[in-house]
Amino acid sequence: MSSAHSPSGSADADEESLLDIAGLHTVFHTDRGTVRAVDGVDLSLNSGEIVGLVGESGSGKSVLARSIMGLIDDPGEIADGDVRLNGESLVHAEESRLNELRGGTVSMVFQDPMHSLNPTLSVGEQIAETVRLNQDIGESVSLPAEIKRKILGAAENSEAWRRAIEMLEAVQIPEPAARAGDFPHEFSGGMRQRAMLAIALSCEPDLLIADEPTTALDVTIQAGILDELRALKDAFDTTILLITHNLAVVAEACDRVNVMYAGRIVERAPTDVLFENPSHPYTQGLIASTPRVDHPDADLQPIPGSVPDGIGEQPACKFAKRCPEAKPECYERPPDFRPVGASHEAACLRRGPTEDRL
Amino acid sequence: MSVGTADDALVQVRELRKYYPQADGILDKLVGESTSVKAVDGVDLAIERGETLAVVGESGCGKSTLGRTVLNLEDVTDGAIEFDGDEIANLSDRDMRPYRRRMQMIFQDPLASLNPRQSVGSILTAPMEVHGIGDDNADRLERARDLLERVGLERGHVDRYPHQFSGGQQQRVAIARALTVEPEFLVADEPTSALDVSVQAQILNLLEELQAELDIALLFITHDLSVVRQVADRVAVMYLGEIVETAPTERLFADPAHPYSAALLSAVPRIDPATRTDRTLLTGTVPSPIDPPSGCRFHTRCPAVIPPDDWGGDQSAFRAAFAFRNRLLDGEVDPEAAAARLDTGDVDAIATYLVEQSLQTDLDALPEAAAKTVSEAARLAATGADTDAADLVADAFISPCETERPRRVAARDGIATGDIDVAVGVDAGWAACHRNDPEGPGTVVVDD
Repeated sequence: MSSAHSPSGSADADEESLLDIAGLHTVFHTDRGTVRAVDGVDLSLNSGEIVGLVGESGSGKSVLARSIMGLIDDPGEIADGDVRLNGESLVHAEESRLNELRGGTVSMVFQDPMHSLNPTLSVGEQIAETVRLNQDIGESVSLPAEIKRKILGAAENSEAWRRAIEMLEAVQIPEPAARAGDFPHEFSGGMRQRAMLAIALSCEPDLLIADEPTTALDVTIQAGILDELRALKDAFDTTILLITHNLAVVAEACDRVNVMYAGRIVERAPTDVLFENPSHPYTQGLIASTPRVDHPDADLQPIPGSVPDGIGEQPACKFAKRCPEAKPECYERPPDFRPVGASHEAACLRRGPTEDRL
Repeated sequence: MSVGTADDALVQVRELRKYYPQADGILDKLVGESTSVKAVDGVDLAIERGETLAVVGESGCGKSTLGRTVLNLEDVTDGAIEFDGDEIANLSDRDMRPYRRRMQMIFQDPLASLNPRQSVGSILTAPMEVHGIGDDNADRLERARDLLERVGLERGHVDRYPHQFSGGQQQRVAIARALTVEPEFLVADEPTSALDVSVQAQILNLLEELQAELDIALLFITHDLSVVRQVADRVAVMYLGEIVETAPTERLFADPAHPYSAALLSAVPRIDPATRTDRTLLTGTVPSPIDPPSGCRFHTRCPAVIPPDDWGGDQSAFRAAFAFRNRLLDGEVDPEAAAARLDTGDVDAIATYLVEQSLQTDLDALPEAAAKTVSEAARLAATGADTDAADLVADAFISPCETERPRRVAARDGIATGDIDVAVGVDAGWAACHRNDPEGPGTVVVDD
């Protein structure tokens, strides 16, 4: 399964990759103009790997995730490009087909579990609901049946409920059988995020998109959730797209990393390669501005300025204005991906083989 | 004992307590059985001029309440706050007025702390007017322009409104406002947590520059140990309303003395694989600050909890037995669920399953007597005799960490200082853990 994959995310992995994003453009039409939130992204994920998508706010990483799931609503739209899951286009799929896939083949967990969980249903019932909706276990999902369950509580010896308890156990909720009847507000933040993972994984998705899953949590809890993600990947062979602003989280959890800036991926490499030899000026700046517990003596080197809002005319390289190495040509000529090492590419005119370098 | 003396400190906090009563009803008040959230529970701190003291801890540990209480923005339940030698705890607003000018605060969310209807010029000149700084409006506006320049914005920005700035720029405005009154003491509560990494670095560097330039005493409250390492001279680690360790920053990161500090540190993700250490995963949840655990408050989650003298086994075995006991006492062991899971009513099978689930080691790893107690308790629980099971383990595995309050012990030289007053100064530091106390319990245990 995990044969020598192409870490570049380029099209040659077409046959074996689980998810293929090609030339994706997602835009939002606002009063102030069109925001190009995702501005030409190619990305492919192979089965059973954890791929990191790292960037600051405004980089478009969350919009990219929502584009995959078909969750872009007015005033936003996918303007160009395609997302293929097992070869099937999601951009051109009917809503009914997307609903089948969501929570089935693809699941998503978000930063704030409190906003994703239903406060009026017990945690166990919410997992059971997902199980009933996505697996044929001979339990009715008709409206009367749901209302009955909502009033009377879940049938505690139903197959779906049993599965819910198993899932809570899998994500290490202590005393899962007792806690399944609890409501979301009775769970701590870390437990809620585990419950979200339980819901997301209850239908054994091929792909899990985790958007800042640990950002709202304390480090002690975060460490547990990251361990959990890795263990679940092994147990269920789930491919995980981990979206975060935190470089250290990526460094610890992911097999490969994509660095995103202003709607574009600017650098991609296997995790250890990227952090050993960061190449794109933005990646270098990001690392230099990150406070480190492991390298305390380095002074923080902030990147001047802030992330552009994606409206109106932009330089060909969107990082040019903040880049310490920018030359006039960087404003004119769009940067292409250049090899900067084994399985390692950066979209910068001033990188790559000497003869091509600006 | 401490290297610096209390006189050096600009801010000196002694035995500070801030409780929030939980009883709202009249009946509760009449009956007098009110409970309270012990958000800050006996904190001693000292901060010198020009020094950055970071208070670090998980959410809910009381660090933000501590920051506000030190500034007398909350009614003090008990204890003393000395500012430049004067007692300010519970001073009235009027009496606080002269001190207000000398102490300021910046918050996590700059936009929420800036009035959206006021221009930056008004935001910056208002505090000067209140405190009588500047000759006239023109002079104050000129000062505002200078300040904007100083925090890395433009002089012309006085005419703009907060929403016209990015998050990082808004935080610069908030910092400029704090500086308008030329404070000596600044409390910064998670000032960069809402900012992007590249912008966070700008703000951290700015704070550092300004502090060095203006000799401000900075109390920096954060959950982020990487930021602590970057900005702090000294660190105070907070858990459930108490400081469990203070240390110069370098020492804390190199050699944390309290098991909680060590666990917190080990949980921080690291970019460089070579620097990753074995992670100490804390089990259990943070106990309620309404009824914090007895003895050392961390004992319910502590990986280094001390066995009693007559234990007869190793520490990890005790920790497993102790955790099993606490789960049973907390009602977290659920025989009914086990019965449903196994689909059986067989008491022995359920008991075995309970031990497997709730004891984090093999039964064989425990000393014989302890193994017997665990099995017996599990069997009692399986038959539904929860109370008997709880009684059995409650008396069996008792740690001194649960029964005795740890003393504060100077961490560096291992000399017990007993009830030391307040440790001040760059060289001082202590940890409240029995393991560091040569006269405390558990010194018979060889460190593992």
